[in-house]
Amino acid sequence: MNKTFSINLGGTLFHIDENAYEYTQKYLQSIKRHFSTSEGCDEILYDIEVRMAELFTEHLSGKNIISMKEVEEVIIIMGKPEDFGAEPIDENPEGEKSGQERKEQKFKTGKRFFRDPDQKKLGGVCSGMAAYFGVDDPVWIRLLFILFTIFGGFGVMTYLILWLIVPEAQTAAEKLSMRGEAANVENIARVIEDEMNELGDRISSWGSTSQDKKKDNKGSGPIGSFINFLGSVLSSFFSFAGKVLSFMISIIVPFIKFISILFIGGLLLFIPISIFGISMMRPIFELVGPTSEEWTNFGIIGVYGACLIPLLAVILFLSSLVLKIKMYRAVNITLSVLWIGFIILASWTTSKTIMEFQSYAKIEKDSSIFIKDDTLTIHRKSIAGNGITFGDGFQIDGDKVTIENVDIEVKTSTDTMIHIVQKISSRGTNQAQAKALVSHIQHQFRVEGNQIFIEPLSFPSGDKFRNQKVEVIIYVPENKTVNRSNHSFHLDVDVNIHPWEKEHMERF
Amino acid sequence: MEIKLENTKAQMRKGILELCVLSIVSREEAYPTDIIRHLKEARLIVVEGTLYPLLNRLKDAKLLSYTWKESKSGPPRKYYEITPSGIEFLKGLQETWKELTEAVLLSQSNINQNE
Repeated sequence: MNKTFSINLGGTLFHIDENAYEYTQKYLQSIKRHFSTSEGCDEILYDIEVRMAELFTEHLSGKNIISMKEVEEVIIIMGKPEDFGAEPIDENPEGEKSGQERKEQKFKTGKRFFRDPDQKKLGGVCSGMAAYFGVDDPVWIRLLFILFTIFGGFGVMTYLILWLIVPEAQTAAEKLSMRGEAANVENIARVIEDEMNELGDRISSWGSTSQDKKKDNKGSGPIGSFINFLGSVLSSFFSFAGKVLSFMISIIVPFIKFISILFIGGLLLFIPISIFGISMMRPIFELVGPTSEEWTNFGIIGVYGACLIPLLAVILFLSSLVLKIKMYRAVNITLSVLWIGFIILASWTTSKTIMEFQSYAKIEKDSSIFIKDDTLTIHRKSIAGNGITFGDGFQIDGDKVTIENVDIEVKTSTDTMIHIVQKISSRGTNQAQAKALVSHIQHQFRVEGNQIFIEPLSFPSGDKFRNQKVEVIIYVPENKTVNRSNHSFHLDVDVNIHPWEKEHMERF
Repeated sequence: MEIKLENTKAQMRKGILELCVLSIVSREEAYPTDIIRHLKEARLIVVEGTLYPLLNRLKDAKLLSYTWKESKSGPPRKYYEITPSGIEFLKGLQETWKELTEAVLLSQSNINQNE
């Protein structure tokens, strides 16, 4: 059972099967595109429709419904637009040749991917791609390739491969189909299938021509036949991949608008979420950022813009695809200028911040304690209180910043006493500042019986974070055993430790 | 560049297609299907689609004009007829054609003499 349509073709009414209808429409579209630069495009199309109607009437000979068979017969009689050959723009030998070559191929409906010789900087891959995706300015695609080259380096490879296998648009007709009908939601499946087939054909023909060259030189060697074999394998691979992709897309297509809208919605939602996220991160920026408050704000704006503008660009691009609106060049340029500006702002702030980590200062406090017991337990205290906590043991609570991560190391003592050494250090713009920061650091430990409690370190929140750090080294006499209260912290031990602890440590 | 026979043939046909269409239409007004029949008999076109852009161009150049006429079966048809300037143009083409055929004959007889 087939669905049929009623169509008015050149003033005559026909019933036509669904697939035959689609094929006819594809054909007429390809003619339309072919003549899209001629003035009489509509008229030519109408005349052709009238003639097709006549031919259909002849070929139906009493039948009611046009099927695929009739459409194919009529198209053979009418010919493909590439074979018309009578229009002035195609009157060069190049065009004639490619017209001949393409006689065997199906006519293309979608846009085709060509390298653009008119706007090329290198091989015309980027400009061709820009034309294919309907991007106004090839600069964007070039930037993308450069980005891909910087991050991972496969931009160059991709470029070279595309340069090799993508044909250059030589004739006027090819240049037209390079810019022609943009890939949109409705035709994307077909376009991809066509494209993949084309790619496969190209690879296999490339394989065979290189074999031909080999033949000319010194007979068909094993390399020649290998390249040929590779060509045919790749060719069938691409044609298969094209079918699979086009099938998958044809399943998705009915929902693709819906999916895209959902996706765009999700991305739009991401904007307030990221604004919220960044405002939550503000205290961190203030803590870590440069001393100058203006620069901290600039940095925040920079990071913020550098993250959000690509997001905005993706949203705009997707929306323009779904709504079939062309993006204005001015928008593209504005966005990119802003983006670069934000990146510069963010990097400038970062470098300013790094400068403030230049110098280093350290003090050591040494205290001796006596514990009678043979075993002693070391506790590392967690952060108490309820300020804003970030990540792993990092808290900003009003006027105080607390960091839980205090390094504890246990070493063998040379005498019978237990020595606790606190190494308190910080970085800063200069020696004086680093020293000042060190002097602001508060760090305590407590001893109760055979228990040692190491507290978190803290410094006033007016200070910037300049890698304030406390290392605690506990020197323990050889005859004592060390125990750790829990495993939430690391203990660097080279003395006797508790048997259970020992077993635990060996395992890790 | 290598010259292919098929290409050269196609180029030659294309060149005289305008002459033939104008000749056909100059005899009596014709609608595209008639013209196609003549051209196909003379094996001048392979696919019918070729004719329509050509007619359109000749019409735009004011060498041909058309009128709509009712048909017994189906929608009204475009009947093409040649314009005075078309007749002038055709005369020019015919002269050139004559010269060309003479030139071809002459060059071929020269070849024959050489052999």
